Amino acid sequence: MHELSLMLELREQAQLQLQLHQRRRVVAVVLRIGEAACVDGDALALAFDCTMAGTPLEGAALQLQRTTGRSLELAALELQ
Amino acid sequence: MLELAQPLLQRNSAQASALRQRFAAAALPVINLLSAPGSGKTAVLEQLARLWPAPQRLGVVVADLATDNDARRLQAVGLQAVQVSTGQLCHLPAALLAAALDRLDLEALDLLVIENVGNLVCPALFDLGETLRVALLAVGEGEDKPLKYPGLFASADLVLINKIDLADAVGFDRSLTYRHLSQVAPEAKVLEISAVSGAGFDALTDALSALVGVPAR
Repeated sequence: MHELSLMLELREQAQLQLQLHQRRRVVAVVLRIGEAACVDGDALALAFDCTMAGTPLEGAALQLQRTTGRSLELAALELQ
Repeated sequence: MLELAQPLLQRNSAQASALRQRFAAAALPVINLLSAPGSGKTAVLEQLARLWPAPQRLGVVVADLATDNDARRLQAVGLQAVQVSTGQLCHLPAALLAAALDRLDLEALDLLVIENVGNLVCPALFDLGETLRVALLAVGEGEDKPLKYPGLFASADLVLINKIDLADAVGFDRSLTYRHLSQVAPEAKVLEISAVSGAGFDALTDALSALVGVPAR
């Protein structure tokens, strides 16, 4: 459903971090997803692959941490 | 690992705050109208246009994945309606709303209604800078709808039960519906209406007038 817009937002935020830290690639992404955030993990993974293809996030390992509530957070990035 | 803890809906929240300021600067009350597809959002606005003293001062931004059918219907009854196509997005994000507002003269409006994408799930998560959030529920959708979609109903200031003219035909259980609504949205005002017959619209225009400070009649 809105996994696509979340991934577009993630891409923007990650690319900003790459600029800030003068790095070239993202090798890992950790997202914190609330159980009531109505986000589907599988759809998110698919949207991630589609959205990040051809970008510095392509092929990055995506880790989803489950939490309570409705939060949707970029928890951490591993940059290279 | 670079620890960030950044909300992914951060940009929408920031854009919604900017919209809230923009609306305040134009002294424009804004309603975010949410419901499942087919509950009657457009029909309610068509009926409202017939009763509103100056329909040309009632603006609507209609969001759909496809077609401009709803905006056309609303333009035909004299409303300042613009259509936004959300493409594949299941909700209207603040950024798309902001762009659509450039097609309206906000200073020339008394009230703006956002007719959101028909969807009880995602739109509830996206703040649009609205003054009032209105949830529309039609009889026949199921008395437990509020329990199944608590996020949306809990965030509503006003709940409209539409198609009340069909209540008997669908075996609508009024007391059960009200019980579920009071569980999930105890503070929300609830009104029963029929966009087709006009039932309940005096109370609706009075409620809108009181809640957003616009003279109704």
